[in-house]
Amino acid sequence: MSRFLKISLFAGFSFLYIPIFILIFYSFNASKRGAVWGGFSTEWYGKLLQDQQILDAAWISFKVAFLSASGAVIIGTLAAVVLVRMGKFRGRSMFSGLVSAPLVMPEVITGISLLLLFISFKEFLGWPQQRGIATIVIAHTTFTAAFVVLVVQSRLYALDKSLEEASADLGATPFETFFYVTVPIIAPSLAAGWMLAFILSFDDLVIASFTSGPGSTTLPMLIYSKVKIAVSPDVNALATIIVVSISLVIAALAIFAFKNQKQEH
Amino acid sequence: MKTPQSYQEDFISINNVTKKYGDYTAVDSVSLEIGKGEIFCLLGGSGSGKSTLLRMIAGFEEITSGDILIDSDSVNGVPPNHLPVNMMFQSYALFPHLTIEANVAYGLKREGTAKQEIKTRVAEMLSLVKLSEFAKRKPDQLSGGQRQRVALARALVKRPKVLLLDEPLGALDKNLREETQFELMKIQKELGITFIVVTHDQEEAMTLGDRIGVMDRGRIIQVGPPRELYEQPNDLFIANFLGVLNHFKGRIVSTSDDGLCDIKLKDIDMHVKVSTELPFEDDQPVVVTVRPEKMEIFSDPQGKPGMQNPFIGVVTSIAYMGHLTVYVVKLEAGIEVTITESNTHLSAKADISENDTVRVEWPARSSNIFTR
Repeated sequence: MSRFLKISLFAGFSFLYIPIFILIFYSFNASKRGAVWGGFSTEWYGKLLQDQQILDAAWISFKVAFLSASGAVIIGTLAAVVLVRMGKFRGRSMFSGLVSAPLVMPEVITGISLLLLFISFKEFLGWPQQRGIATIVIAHTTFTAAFVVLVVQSRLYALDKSLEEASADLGATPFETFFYVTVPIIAPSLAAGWMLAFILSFDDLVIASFTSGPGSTTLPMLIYSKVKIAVSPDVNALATIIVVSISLVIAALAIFAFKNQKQEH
Repeated sequence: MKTPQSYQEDFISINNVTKKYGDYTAVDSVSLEIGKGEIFCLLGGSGSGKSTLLRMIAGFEEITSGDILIDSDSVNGVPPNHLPVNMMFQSYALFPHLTIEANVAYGLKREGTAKQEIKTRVAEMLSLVKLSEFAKRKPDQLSGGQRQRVALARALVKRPKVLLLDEPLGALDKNLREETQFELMKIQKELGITFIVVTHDQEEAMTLGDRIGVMDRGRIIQVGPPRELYEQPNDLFIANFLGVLNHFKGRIVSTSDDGLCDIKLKDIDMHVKVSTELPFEDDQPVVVTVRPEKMEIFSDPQGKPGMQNPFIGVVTSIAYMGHLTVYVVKLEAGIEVTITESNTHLSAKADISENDTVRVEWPARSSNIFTR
């Protein structure tokens, strides 16, 4: 490797990871003031586990992420199948554009429009009476489904169409073909899409802020409200835990994908 | 060898079938009758419409106009899962997530066959294709030839009225291919199922097929048993497609009463003689074709000719291929011909080498003649 490439690599990694390492470093800071080093300590991690507010928010975030990722996988997979397998139909390009719109839409706009939707729903249908976990789940399903479509779509394009034809040829109805052939074969991409949607939902602050109500403060919302006052070391500890667990999920995903790829060839 | 007359002739009947994609006509007014228990090969190059025709029989493509009947039932508008045909795909399309056993059982499960019967029939099929000990493996743990046999077993286990095979041997290497061809024919005779095979390989079509239908640009050009297509093609395209040919362009000079034509070749001072039953007019432009194996080469140029077409020439190249030898000879008139000789005994024609002057002969009845 040339010197230039080595330096570039080093610079790139530094740019990406130094902020995170600083965060992790300060999460072990004994001092209460953020930027002053007061010796090594794990007391903030201990305090975290006793902070009922944070634990509640984490549990809410987990529930929201779990439900919306599951919903997004169902809706996103159906949309991907329609886009890949239905061929040309009236409004196909419009549909494909609309499906991927949430990818590029500013989150603030997605948030506001969903907020307006829920308000008008309440007006005309009487539901939802108040915003809470259910509305955040709906909102997150909407925007994460677009990512699931992308992941599943690319796998479906690579799927040999004759597998589905063979299934039909052997007497399977389209429904049976989908569940006995298509789904098992694209299962790794469904899992990947689910995890991606989970992380996106778990991370989201903006859309959740617009669509949440009393008693449904998610973890990112809580962190944000805390740092508005001052960056406290317990937030550093919390962020460290989140970073580590997300890294573990991504590593698991990568190993899973790698094993799957090896099996296919 | 079976004779085509012994089949129920109209088991599958394809009536004036056309398939259009927009302005493009993939299959153009094809009519065919395929008999019960026959191996019928659809032979053609890419884009000839052979695969599209096969896919219409399987129900994967809608028929633009015309009709296909299988045992008197129309396939028109019937989805593939309700047709009494099964297909062996070119890529085999084995389900990668299922074991070999489960792959073969898939079709029976969809039918709702009883568990015990599925077990017996799958075991039966796997032993027919000699894969019993691989039942628990996944497709990616098998070799290409084994996968091909799984695909065959999976398609046959439902006892279809017709088995469609899309380039069944295309993915196999040459040695395996020959072995598999005979295996395939044996299994077909054993089960008596009608096979329709799509292939671009003329050798494969001739080995497998009881009859061959040659397709070009969406149309069927000729249908017949392999020997008829090879020896009496009704079209120069077919003659060319089925193997190497020597061409002579020329004009008819005269035709005797017993059908022996004298043809003067174009631009060169050479006459060839062809016996034909077709009526030709004098001065009609024609193409004469002679298969390389119908010509014979003699090391003695001055010998007494025994056939109607004797010529002297110089050997320009020799390719020894084991079972036969290919000679390229430049005739005195300046035209090059290719001749193959079977090496029927050790050192057959070993006395001929490059640059030798030789005598080339072929009988008048061993050539075909086409108008141009």
